[in-house]
Amino acid sequence: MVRPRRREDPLSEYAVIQTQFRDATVLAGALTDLGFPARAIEWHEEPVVLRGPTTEVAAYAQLVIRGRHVGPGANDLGFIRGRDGVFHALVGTMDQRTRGWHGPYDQTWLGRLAAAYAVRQLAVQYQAKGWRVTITRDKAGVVELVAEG
Amino acid sequence: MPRVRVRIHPTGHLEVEIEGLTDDGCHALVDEAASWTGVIVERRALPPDPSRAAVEARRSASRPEGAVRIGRDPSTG
Repeated sequence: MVRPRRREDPLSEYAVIQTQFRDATVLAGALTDLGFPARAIEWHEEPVVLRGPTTEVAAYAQLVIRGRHVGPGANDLGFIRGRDGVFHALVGTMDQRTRGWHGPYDQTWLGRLAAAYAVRQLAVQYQAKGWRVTITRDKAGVVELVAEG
Repeated sequence: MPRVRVRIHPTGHLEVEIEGLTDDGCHALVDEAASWTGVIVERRALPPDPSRAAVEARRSASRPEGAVRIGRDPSTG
């Protein structure tokens, strides 16, 4: 419950942030939150080719999950870091529509991954500052993180 | 004591509210949160009734275009 602000209260600010994947370690952690075992997540300093039964265009990625961990008959799933430092998901068209082990790997799945990434990143960073962090989750799947310093 | 409240939606967008600081301090904390997590797509100072403002902002916050891209990109191959 937010009480009405009194005139002498400090200012408050509201912002909306869209998550971007910039930290490979946190991204790997978020993938485990969505069910992938840590051993299934490969990191390659130099991008490696993604393979799969329905792959039509060659694609390369640094963070890779091989198809056997994605689902039966699935393609490899990967993330490639762009020149702006942001990782972009590379998901086969078929795998966006197929349930697989943890999917379907569609826009909804990417949103859940982004949310898991943000929770991990914020918790780690605020705790590193020595702030107290509390995390709650409601029935709609919205996570509330409160950090107090 | 500064307080940061972040609502993290399953769509991957975050609503951040800062309390207990001056204007400059609020800006700095929002910038800091964005530097860790992504890009700011909307920001505003809260008017006198924060609860009403937050509700209005949530209603108007459409699902932002993400930097997360799906599908094979021929340019990377």
